[in-house]
Amino acid sequence: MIQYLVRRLLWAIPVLLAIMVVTFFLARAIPGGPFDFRGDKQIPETIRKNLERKYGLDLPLHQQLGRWIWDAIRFDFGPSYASRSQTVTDILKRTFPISFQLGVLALLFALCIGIPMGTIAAVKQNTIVDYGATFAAILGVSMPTMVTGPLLMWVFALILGWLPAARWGTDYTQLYLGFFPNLLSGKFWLHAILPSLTLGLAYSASIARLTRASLLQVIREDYIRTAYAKGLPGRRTVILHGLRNSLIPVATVLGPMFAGIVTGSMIVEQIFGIAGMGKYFVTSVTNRDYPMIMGAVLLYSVLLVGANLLVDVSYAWLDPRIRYD
Amino acid sequence: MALQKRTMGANGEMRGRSPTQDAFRRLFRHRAATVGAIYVLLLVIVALFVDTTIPAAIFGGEARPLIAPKHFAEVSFFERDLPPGTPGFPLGTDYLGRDILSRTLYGTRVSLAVAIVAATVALIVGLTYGVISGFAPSGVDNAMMRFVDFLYGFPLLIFIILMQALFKAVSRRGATGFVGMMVGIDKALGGMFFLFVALGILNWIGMARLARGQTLSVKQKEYIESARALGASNLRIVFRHVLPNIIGPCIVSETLAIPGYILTEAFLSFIGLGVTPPTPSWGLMISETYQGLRTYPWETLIPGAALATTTLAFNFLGDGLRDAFDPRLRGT
Repeated sequence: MIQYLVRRLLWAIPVLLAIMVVTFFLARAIPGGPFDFRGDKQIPETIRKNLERKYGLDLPLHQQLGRWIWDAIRFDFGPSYASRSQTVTDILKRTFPISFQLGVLALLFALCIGIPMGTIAAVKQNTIVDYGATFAAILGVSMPTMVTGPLLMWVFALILGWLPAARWGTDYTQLYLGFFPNLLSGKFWLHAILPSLTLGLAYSASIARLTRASLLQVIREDYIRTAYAKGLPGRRTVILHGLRNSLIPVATVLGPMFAGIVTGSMIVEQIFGIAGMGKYFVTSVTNRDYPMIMGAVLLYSVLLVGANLLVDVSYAWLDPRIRYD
Repeated sequence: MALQKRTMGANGEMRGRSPTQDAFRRLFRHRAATVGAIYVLLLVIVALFVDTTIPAAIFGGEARPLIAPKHFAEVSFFERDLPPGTPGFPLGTDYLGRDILSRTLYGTRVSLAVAIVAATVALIVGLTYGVISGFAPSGVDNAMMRFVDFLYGFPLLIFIILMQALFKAVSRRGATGFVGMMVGIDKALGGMFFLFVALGILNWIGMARLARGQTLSVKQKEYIESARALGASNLRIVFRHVLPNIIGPCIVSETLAIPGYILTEAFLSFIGLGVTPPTPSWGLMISETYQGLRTYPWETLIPGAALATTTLAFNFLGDGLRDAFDPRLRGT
């Protein structure tokens, strides 16, 4: 197991390096520089040259790349070109916890809705409950966040007025250790419900579909029949013996799903006006804010690699037959 | 397919049905899939004939709106933000006085074109890569699959965003030669061409894995062995025996991927890296109007409904196709 983990972590290094190199050249290939302002904001040629020299943009590309990778390893991306008073690390420290909270809550919503729904549908296979749940799931998969977001906001915030329509409940100044929200504050939860539900809904639907399918296969296995034959009550058999084994395919998709949630949060953050990382990433691309692009892409990639690793490790826990040697 | 199922006909003679025929019979017995297929067919008709671009291209003349009541970019200063049901504007108008019904109908074109072209590109590239990898000697196969694993670790959507930013900036700046030709095509298609490229280049990975797995399993079958014994060349084996047997699952998996392409297009247009305004895309329409949700909800919800029903129809169709081609997977 340890050996496997080390091997996977070592494999992640070339992947991350390649991502950084490709990002660097893609970002650089985009015509226009960070200090090419137009109109009133246009700055004289000499000042632009000086600014570019200050940030090392006049060096040969391979030197810039080398410096960049070296800085990135120490998680020091330098100042953001778009708002030069703060470093990229500052911006990420402020915005990433909020995106992360949103993502984790969405994933929790997805699991808490998806797994029970899939289980009920599988247990009551081919009944009206099953058909209803299956239809709801396919509907949920088909609704993108840019449709559910405005729809939920319109119904619950604007018409009914039950929930706040926008913003995140905590400010970065109110986070414990700079990361954790105050879970006891009602304001946090009231603000969190709509965005995380929006983000989690589509994923809950696909989790429900997967749970149902794999539970249906597991229920037919011999050991489930044995458990029934021993006289175990039905509900206990399904949940204790069946569900755990049927969650393996669900765990498989959680890795890519987490990546989807993190990037999907870009839209939710825009619709609900949340100052998260996705919004900064999108504007950094249009602003040619190279350090911000590099920092955000690296963080996203580390998250993706980490999520995939976590999923692979969780197999061994869910299915003791799987061994990594 | 050499093997055919034998069934007794009504008057006792033997008649055969191929597995593909079987699959289509199962597909049309699947009610939701049939509804999905009909809806998709309607969308295709709308996309083709929303205006007279195609007849105009063949017979000459101006492209005029055909199914859509108005042109998508027809602005009207005095008819802004009208609610649905206003005479002349069945679904109302947006913040520039453009007819929402027409824009939604035109939006079909972008969504379907991007989805179908991206799926086709991914299918062709992935299938070629997968079959070559499955047939290559194990050293080459290993190297090709390591490369796929390598790409699998990449955050694809982020690279699509960066590539689109690159393409759009190049297109704004203008270019010469080959790149200039591509920019020209892209301008003519309202910004769709680069979407095809970005989505197609990066989405073949899953297909390559599937095609390789299928090739490897088909390669073991007796009929391949007998073809080889009869002296068939590799090329003939691939085209006569392998491809026909693996194409079904590959097409099904690509159909299931289509909603994903539609949503990616909508996502890119939403963040301003998709089609070029005023070309109507549902994602763009939503992003232009969601801030006015409180006052003008229909401007956001109508393109949203179009987007959701389209992906729903493709999901129904994809599910039905999968059930039909692989009955073991029914209901998953």
